[in-house]
Amino acid sequence: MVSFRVVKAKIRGLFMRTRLDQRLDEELQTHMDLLVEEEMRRGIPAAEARRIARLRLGGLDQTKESVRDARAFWLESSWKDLCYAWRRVSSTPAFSVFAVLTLALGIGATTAIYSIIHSVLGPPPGVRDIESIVNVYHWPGSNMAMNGLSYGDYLDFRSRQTVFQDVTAWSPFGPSFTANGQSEKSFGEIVDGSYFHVLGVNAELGRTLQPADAAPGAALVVVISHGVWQHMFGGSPDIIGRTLKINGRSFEIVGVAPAAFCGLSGNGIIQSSLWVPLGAGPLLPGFLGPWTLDPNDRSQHWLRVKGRLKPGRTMAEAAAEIRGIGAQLDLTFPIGKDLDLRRPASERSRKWSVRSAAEVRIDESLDSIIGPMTWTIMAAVILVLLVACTNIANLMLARTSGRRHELAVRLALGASRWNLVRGFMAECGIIAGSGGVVGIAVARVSLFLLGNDMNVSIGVPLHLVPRLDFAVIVVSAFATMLALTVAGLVPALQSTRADLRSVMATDGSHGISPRWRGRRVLIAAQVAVSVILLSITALCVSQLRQQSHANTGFEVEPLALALVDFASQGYEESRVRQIVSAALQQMANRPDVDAVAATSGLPPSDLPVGLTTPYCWLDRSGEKDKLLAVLVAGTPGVFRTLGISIKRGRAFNESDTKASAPVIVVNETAARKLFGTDDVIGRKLNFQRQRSGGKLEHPVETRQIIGIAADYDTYHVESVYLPLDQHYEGFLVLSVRANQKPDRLVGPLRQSLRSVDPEVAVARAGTGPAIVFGPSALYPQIMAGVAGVLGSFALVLALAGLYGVLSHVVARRTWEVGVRMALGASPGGVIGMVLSDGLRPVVFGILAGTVVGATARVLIQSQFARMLPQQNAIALISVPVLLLMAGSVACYLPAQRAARINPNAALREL
Amino acid sequence: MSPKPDVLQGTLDLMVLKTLEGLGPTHGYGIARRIEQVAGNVTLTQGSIYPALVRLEERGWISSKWGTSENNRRARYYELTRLGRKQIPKETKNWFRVRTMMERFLEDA
Repeated sequence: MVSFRVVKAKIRGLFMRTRLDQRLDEELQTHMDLLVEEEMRRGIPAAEARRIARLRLGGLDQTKESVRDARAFWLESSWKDLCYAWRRVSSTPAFSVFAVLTLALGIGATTAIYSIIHSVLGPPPGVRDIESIVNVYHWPGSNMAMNGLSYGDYLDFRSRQTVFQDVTAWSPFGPSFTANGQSEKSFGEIVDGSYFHVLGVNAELGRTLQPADAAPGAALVVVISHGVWQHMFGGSPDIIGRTLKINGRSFEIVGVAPAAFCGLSGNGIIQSSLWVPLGAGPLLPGFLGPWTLDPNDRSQHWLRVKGRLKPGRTMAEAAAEIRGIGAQLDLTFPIGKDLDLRRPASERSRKWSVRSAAEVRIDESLDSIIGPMTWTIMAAVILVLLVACTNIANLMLARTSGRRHELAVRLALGASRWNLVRGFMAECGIIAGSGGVVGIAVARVSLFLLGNDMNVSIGVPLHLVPRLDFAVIVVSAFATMLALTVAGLVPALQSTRADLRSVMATDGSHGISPRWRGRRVLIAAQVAVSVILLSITALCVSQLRQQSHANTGFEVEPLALALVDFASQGYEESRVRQIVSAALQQMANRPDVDAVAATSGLPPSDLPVGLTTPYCWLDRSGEKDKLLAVLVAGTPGVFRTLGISIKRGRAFNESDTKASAPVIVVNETAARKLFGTDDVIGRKLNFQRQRSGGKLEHPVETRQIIGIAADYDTYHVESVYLPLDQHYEGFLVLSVRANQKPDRLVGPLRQSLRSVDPEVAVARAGTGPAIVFGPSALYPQIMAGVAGVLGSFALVLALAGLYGVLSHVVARRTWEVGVRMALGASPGGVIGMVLSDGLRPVVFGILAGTVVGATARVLIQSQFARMLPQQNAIALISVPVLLLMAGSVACYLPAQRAARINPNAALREL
Repeated sequence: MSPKPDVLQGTLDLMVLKTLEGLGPTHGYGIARRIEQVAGNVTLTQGSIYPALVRLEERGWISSKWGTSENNRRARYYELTRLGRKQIPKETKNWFRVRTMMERFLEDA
């Protein structure tokens, strides 16, 4: 019963310890004197009196000890334990640092990956009370395009619903925006006036959008994100009222969103840069076609609808009401009645459904794979963390068995078992604590690096960094403590068993430690885990290398590219030509530039580049069959820049203008497919650009073939080339061919565009390999990175464990080795013996890992085929080879030590 | 070292309290001697009151200060506090309760 008063008294006692000790000494001395006096009064002589007095008083030391016990404060003894543990830990710095780093990496990896998963899977941040927010869908389970409501439906839904406090609608789009001489193309959202109210988001500065802003004809206003405010406007405090040009039109900035709010794109992982009201929709072209606010056109399902439930209403009620409204609307405003019956039912009726926003992971369409994938990743990481913990446990076991003497002596001197165990716990606590702290730092750094990396690869800022969840850290630290407790508790309890005499009599160095068997299994398990992870890494790395030599229709390596969507920014053709030729001229004047060109896209490659490369239909006059080919409209420098040679005829040049005859250059494959021969110069060809979503058909033109372009390398896909002067495209790729590495040209390329027109927004700019290979390399890169780090980590742990344990075993088997050598074993033989002993668990581990890995692959192949790296025999074999070599190295040193044992000395060491 | 049983601690505390109640402010030797006299048997070493004194003082039931003994020795004197005085009837009642319980228990067996 520790009352407050007692605690206060004990704390005071801590500070007055010396004084209290002195006082007790004096008291006892007085007591003793008085006792002696009493005895002497009875007539007992002085010496005898003193003896009797001592007996009556009791042992002085014992008394002092029991007083000290009575005064003892549990905190004080814990503090003492901690100090002692710290001394022990710092006395073996190599082991301690290794243990801390091991744990730090394990905890850091777990934390970082869980954090990523949490932010990827979690609901959008910054939204108030997401549990009461509900998503309304046009059709349950269908893909993104059909899951919105049309504007007319949304208005009716708004007026007829009773179960929500408020509803709102939004749609993502990809704006190019400029201000202050900077330009950017990223993500934004078109939202209804109630958006911020429903989500419960308040503006950090200025105001959020209001219902009045969404009325048709209202002024063009925008709310920008915190990030845009910072890096585009330098966080300037007079941001409200300034202008932001979005896709060429001027919007007034009325507010800045809080830093924690990312919008709803990608369920919150993708940071939205700006929010504009619905009224602006029709003015901003989007990739799904023009947004319409015509309440009579109910076929365009572009608005995603959300609502906040009234308190006390349930999802079931909402679902029922929504279904009802959908059915009503089907009767009064049927949709898709003229459509082909083969089109999906979702285009002909409204099967409206609801889903809690809190449940949605990233995007409805990715639901099925995300769950299992992330759990697999988490499992892998936790596995490695366990490996780390068991490794430390292993090493601590080895360490404590060397302290059995010390422990036995302490027990004999009167320490309680609990005292000794507490000491171990303190040591473990220090190591775990430091490991946890360093682990958090590791997690932060890796999240930061990963976030940057992804930004570069995809060109989109992903909102990954801030979510360092404290719950996660606590959990991992706790898990580690648990593991360490087990590792510390077991040896502690074992070492403090009461069988002191036998321990003290011998020093127990005979015979093989019985725990070697258990540790062998542990090492085998660690090796197995390393095998699996390193195999994944090897496969991903080989896949990456293959990809970077993937087939493309042009020379990617020496290029610096800038992608600009002029059309969506509202630029006129003549202005675009001016800008482009001026910018290219600037670049062409540089000494490190070989050639420059502007093209409407890039020649095809095997990889999905994500550029809107246009296509066209070709046919010979009179023939029915049309051939679909890739269309590359470019300036005359296109062939030289992209490294495509002309086999026959000529390329187009400055004289092929709008005024001169329409010409076309076809590549070998196109020529052969169309005419069956190479001799096609001078022939005429019907050319029609393929229509792009929602627009009208393009006219058919007749063009004359003036040249044949060689297929690039061995890549045979039909492509044709037109002079940009004769065929204009609004989306252009500015390419610059460098003499050497193109990296240094990317900045100047951006700069030259900006110098010609500071308002131009560059969608993406980078070196050829980064832009072409970047997006598809992302996934294998991440996999390779994560698996590689974890795998090498597991491997290092396994090897360190192997080395440590073997060293220990060799030390304990000194006597046995001495006997063997005395009986005639050669040093070579001894090395062989130790090596084979040590390598056996490694081999078992490799076998186990290979078997488990192969089985796992077979099992998940059906589900996740496209996520698994392709098989590659060389990569797969390299891993076991590597592990065997590493294992041999780890065993070699202890083996050598064993071989150098002097048999005489060993035998004497009884 | 086996820990002292709580029962013994409790009884010793009560004995110290009663002694101080009867004798007024006393030093350690005085308390020990008095307990010896009254309790009769000498199974306890006199040193064992000191932990009890520490406990009682931490709880605030007694207080201590330096003083001079009969033969002009410097000794530490202990006396009951008001709080301690209130505790005595409580502790006494407790003790009797325990004793009755034990008696009944042992009789039955």
